[in-house]
Amino acid sequence: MRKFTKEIASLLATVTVGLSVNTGSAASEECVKLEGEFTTPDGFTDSMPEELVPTAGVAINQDITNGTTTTTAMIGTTTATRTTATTYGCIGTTITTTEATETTTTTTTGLIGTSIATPEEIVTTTTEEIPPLAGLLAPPDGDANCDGDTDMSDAVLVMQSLANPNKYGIDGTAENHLTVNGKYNADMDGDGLTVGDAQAIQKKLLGIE
Amino acid sequence: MDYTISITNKCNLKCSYCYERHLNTEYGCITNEIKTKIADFINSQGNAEIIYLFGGEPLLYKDTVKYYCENVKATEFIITTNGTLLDEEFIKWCADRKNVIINMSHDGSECTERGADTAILDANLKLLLKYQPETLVQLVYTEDTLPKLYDNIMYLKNMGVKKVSATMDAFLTPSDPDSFGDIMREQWRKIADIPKFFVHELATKKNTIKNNKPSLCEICKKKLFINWDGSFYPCVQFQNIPEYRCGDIFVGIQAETARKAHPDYSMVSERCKGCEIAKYCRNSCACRKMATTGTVRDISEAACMEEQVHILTALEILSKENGGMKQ
Repeated sequence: MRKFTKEIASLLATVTVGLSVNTGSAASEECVKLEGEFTTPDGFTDSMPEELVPTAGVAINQDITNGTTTTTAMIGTTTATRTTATTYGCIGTTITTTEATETTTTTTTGLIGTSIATPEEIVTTTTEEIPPLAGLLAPPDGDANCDGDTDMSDAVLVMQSLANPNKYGIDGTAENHLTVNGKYNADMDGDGLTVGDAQAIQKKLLGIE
Repeated sequence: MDYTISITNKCNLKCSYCYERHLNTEYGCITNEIKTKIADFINSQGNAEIIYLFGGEPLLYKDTVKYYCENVKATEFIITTNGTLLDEEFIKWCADRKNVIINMSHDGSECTERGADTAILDANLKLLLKYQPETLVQLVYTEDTLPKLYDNIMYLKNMGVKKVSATMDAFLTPSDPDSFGDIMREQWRKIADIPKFFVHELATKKNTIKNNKPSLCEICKKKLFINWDGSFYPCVQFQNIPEYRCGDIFVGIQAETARKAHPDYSMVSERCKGCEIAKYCRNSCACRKMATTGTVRDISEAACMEEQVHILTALEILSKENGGMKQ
């Protein structure tokens, strides 16, 4: 465990964070400007805007693209709030399509893992495709040998790496063995490299869905 | 799209923590031909929001800085300078244009890590504050200056500074990580209690926690770094690294190869997998990983500690703002 994660977990367990329609807490309702974009919380009436001043050379990296108000109840708490439920998966896991709802929701969120949302009132429902946590990466395209093209040699390499991993797998002895990047590119369905991926590559080359 | 233009990587100072020294780059500056081509390229894209004018020290070539402010269509221009070459004429020129902001570096009461005369920096900072009262001052702290971080920020506050960004030396490897963490914790706790004072890192972290949305970055999608030789890279820390080169002003943005070759660009590193606070952390940022470890596959121990402290401090602030601990 990291040095401060216990303290953080303790605070997360007891502090209600985020914006609540009913709290009227001026300090928590902030307009923030980050690199030219504004995020305005719903129910915002008056408060001093806290401006995030853009900097360069500072490795800060935030993309706040939608005026979405998000409230997350931490473990052990319940909050009646307006919530957009968002789920991110790490790269390699199934990308989840989640319903983003405008609703008054009582949410109990596990610090790790599970989330149980009980909507009390559903106003509107939209479907939001969630990108993987690793960023807005280009989806795998079958280029197993990382030569910039997707062709039969990629399907062959996938099969070779599965049939003879000692030689063609990630730590293989062959000069043209599969690499970590190639494995990512070839994992067409996101469930790990299988013969199904070799088939998917061939289907792609044939133009078959 | 935000563009960072590196006017030059030359500098008149030799800050011990500067990434330029560690990148071992060839030293140069924008030529006249490259200068106009960069402006033409950005204008042709028609999507410039913020233009960062960067270096090295960009004010070594003030005319080039002015050229971009006058000839590129963008929402805002931000000049990051060490402050030593500021003069009233230039500051006034920037202030009159309304959309040109100067961010100045200043480390507080002792600027020995930068080899700069503190008195000159103080004088120039006060001059800048006269025309730009909301100046963001960028402070870098090392392991040696960390125990005085609060004092240095107060030094700046007492000069009239209202906004600060306090960044840790990217190459910091603490001799005693445990003690380092304790000192950092104590300093940031004190900083958080400074009234009516904007600290960039805490404001950003509060925002991240409230929005509960991990930060995402893709090669050359929302940011582009343009080197002084006209070549493109995803971000500051990737300049002159051939495998991350993403085109240039002659051929345009060509990022697909780099994207394919580096699917781990914005991945959490091995040490972060399973971390309970990863979603509040910025250590999946490729620039940050590269700056602290020289690879996008790992993040330094010190950077991890820094994020823990920021998250903890931001949570404490939010707790107080919400009226204390609530069930």
